[in-house]
Amino acid sequence: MADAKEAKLQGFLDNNQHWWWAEQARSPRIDYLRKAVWSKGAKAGAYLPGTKVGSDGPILFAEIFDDMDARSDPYMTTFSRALENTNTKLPVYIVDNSRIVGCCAAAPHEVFWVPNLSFGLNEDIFNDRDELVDMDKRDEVEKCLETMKPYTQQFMAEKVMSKRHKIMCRTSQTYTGGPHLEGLFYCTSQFTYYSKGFNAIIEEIDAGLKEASTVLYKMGAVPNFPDEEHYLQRVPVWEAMKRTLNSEILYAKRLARLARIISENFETDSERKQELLGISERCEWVPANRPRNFPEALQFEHLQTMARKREKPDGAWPAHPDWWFGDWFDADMKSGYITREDAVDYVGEYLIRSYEYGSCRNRQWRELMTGDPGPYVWTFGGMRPDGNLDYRDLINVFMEAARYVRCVSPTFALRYNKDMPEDVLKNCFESIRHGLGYPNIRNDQVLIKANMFWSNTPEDEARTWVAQACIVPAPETKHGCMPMRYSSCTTLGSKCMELALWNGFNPVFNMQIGPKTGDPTEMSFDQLMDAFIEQFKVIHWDAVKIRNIVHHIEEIHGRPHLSATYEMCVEDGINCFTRKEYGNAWVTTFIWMDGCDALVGCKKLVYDEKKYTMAQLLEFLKANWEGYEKERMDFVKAPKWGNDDPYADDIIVKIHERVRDEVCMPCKCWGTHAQGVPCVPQNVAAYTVCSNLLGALPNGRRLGDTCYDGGCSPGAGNDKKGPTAVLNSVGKLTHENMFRANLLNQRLSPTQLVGDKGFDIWNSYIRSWCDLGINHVQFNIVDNETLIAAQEKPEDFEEMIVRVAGYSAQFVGLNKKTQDTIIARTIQEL
Amino acid sequence: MTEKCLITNMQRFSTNDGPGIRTLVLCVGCNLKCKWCHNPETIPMHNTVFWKSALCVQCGLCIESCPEEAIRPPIPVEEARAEESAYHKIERSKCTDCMKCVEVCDFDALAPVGKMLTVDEVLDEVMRDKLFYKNSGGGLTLGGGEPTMHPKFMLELFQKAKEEGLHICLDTNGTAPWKVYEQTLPFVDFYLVDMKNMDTELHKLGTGAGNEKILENIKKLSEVGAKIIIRVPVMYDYNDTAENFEQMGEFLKGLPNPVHRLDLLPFHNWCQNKYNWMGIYWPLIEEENMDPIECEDFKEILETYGINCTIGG
Repeated sequence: MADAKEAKLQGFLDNNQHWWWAEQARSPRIDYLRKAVWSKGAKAGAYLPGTKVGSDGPILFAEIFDDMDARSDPYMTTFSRALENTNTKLPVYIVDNSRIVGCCAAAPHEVFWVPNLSFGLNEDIFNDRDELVDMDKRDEVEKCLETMKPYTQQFMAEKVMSKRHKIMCRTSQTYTGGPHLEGLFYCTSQFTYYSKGFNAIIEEIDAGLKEASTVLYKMGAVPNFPDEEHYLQRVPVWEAMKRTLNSEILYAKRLARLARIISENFETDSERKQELLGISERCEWVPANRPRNFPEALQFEHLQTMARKREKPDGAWPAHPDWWFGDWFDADMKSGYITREDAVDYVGEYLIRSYEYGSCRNRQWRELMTGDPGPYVWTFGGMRPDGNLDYRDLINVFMEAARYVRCVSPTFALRYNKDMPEDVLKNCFESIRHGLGYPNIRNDQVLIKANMFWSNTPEDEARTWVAQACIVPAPETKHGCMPMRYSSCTTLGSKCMELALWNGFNPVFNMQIGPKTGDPTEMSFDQLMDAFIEQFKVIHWDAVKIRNIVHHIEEIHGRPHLSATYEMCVEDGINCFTRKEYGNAWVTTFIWMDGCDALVGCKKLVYDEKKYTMAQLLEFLKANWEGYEKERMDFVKAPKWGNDDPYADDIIVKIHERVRDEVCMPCKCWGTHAQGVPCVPQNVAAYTVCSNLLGALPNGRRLGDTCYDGGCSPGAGNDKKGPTAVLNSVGKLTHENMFRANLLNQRLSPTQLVGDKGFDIWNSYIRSWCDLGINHVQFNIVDNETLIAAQEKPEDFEEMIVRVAGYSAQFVGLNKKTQDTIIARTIQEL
Repeated sequence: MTEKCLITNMQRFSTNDGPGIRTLVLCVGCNLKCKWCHNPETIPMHNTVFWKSALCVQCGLCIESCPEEAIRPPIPVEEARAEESAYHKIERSKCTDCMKCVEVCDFDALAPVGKMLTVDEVLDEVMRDKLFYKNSGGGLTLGGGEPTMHPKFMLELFQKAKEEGLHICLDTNGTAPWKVYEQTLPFVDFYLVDMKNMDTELHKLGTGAGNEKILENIKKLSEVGAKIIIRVPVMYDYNDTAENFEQMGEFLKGLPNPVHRLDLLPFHNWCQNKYNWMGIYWPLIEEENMDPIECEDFKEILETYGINCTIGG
């Protein structure tokens, strides 16, 4: 019997049907939980049928923001009262068979609605054609949204922004939206601090409040304005932190009570009764106290994260689970408190509970992240501050669990060092071979240096880095923790090439939006490159300026919970946005290499070979190449990035140098240490979504054509010389300082990755990738036949995961265009 | 004076033609005519033209360029691209491979199969992946076609590659005169030699030549201590018999030095496009790909002779 099952499982593996393998190989509990979970990933712009955006957020927030105190209290005080109201009243639930409990929202099919971010987002959700709001609550919610409108980040930011800023943000001509329209956050976690338990933090806060009380109110004390002002500023902040933490402890206790009630009154199965009592005991203990064992550590962090996401929805989910939970795991394994199988089940459930979370997003962002509720990129392994490598067995447990549950989020990033243990690397490879698309591989030493270059982070702190969003590294230390990424303003990089060719005029929108950099027919190649840089400068700087305004508004809002989990903030009684010691500045640059290749095309055919004049080229572009297919093919065949061709590569490296020196470095981010505001070229699904925003270009691109899919990946089909040539090209960029990070996609053929030989080849490939100093690479391992079959019979391939760009998604959940582009990526035969 | 050779492909990141990550350089020209050949474009000694129907827009420009009137008039694109289509752009009996049509084709539908390159040009491309060779134990593999048909080019390339410290494999059908192999001995790290059939009559039937010379050369290579990897394409109803592999085992066991490895390569028809592009009907197109599992028995047989054997390499 057991042999028959083994053979069946092996059969699935042999046929690369890893999703069927997972279903049969995982435990019954994980199988149930995996199937019971509601995915919050959207298909194109729509949430999956049945998904609702909960009304609790707007109602519970408005109850507080509508009262008298809100009109005079500091915003952070009111915010903390709204969170307290939410944590006290939000319904709690426990899924059958689960052992890790708590959710951001009030029900498994709901997304929690944070109503003080953007009124545009609120209206988008309220009016969505999929009826995301419960019909019987619509009137009440409408009223609440009206109450919340003046308190939203968007409302407050737009009072400060210029008309141009507002138009540019809302039309997405050179950047997608703006931080005040999206409200997605990307904070890092100081787990090593807050894991001591919320009670211990409250004790610290109480000590501060006590001191404040002495200075401010003690009878007979000498008046001293500087001291008193110091505390007058801090008391409301500390009180907001304390109020929020207390309400989160209460939320956990409500879960504890529910578990006990079910166990004692409703549950008939004796084993499950005990499990429920176990849940109850855990939720009585955490997050109030420091976890005592591995399951408690997972429960603790889950409750903490969900509370944080009720405060502001995270666009990402930075975490370092093996370092965070490793000590508990090792101790429990040693003492026999848990078995390895049980640990895999706990981790599997933890992944499923994380996958259950969906952030509150407008339709545009749901499209940009098609198929994925995340991206939640968790980081594993790496070099410790003391210079020793730390790769724990717990990484293997996470990789194994991921293969069983096959969630598209969270995904993993491996901090790669050449001397890392081979068993861990093999396990990571196994997950990639199972077609998960993750972990992506990150060059630890390069990214430590990038951190030091851009943020002046001391080396020991830089060594604690986690991926703060998809790919950008940020430290997790007392001083280095980041309340947010610098910019959710994502620029449309290649637009600068289009604007340079049209003297700052945007032909797609028929608007003059860039500076007048001159008539290209009268330019030399160097002048054309100058115009390219000049246009990009305005795009990038606009994004940074908008970010600066919104940062100012975010500081007014404050974040009671997040501040309470940062040691510096608790110690000093300050809101986390007030801390400006370190800046992790960057602007994500969507659609970048297309424009660079276009500039190379001009050099080749207009300036060097003189096959066409610039005037002719403009005529082709104006016609969107219609009637000029032969000419277009010439530009398609011109040298392209990714072929290890010095002609293209030298120009593109030069562009990157100039962008760093002339565009990024002059920007001032907050913080005494931060240097400039670098680019982060990567795309999520923008390479399809934004394809209608970018017009015809001299790389042969037509308006609407899908853009290149990575940050430094070659265009689909442009890499004619195989994967080593791609790496050689990409390795010519200096990844330590030309950008903050950069994304490279590759697709490999599953038939070539079989067995130990497959691993050996991949291993040596990765070693070379590391020697070339490239910061990132991620793989899709799936053949075209499977992808095409999945398009034809999606019902048979529901669990098949692919890497999009910066995140993973179920292939059948992607829109057709994105599916086609993944098929079109050149398959690299190993 | 650097030697030149018509090269059809320099496949970087090749992992099935010797150890590690390699660059596989393919020369044209082969003295055998194997029925299952996967690189039919490398059989003639001269350059020929591929016509890739999927890229052809039937613009007709090639007709005007052809001095031999060897180009067929355009037909609707869908019709030409249909799977069952018998249409081929070039009338091969008239074509002189002058490449005039290639020059006018804007869509790369007409493309030469090879390019004349000097040793230095080849080496320049090969050296680009030296980092990958270092990390994987890989290097250069020269194949084809049959590279020993260009001994001067081959020797110059090997000599220069060795000076660069490259690991070198020679992929050969084993039919060259011994003195050619003898000259390569100081340079070549691995000889990849094909063995198709132990029955010389059947060998002749499948490849156009008997196997005597090949077996003799393998023996001589073994005698001088060369490292050898034997590669056996396994074909339905041709060499897929226990008897063949028993004889093969017997022969290899009798060599003065054991071979490094033997790779069984189950038949596949992935090269059918190339035959279509050349306008050649390939009878094996209907043949199904062989499941590697069908080679298990042969592997077991060979292992009883103490041979280190893989399926697929």
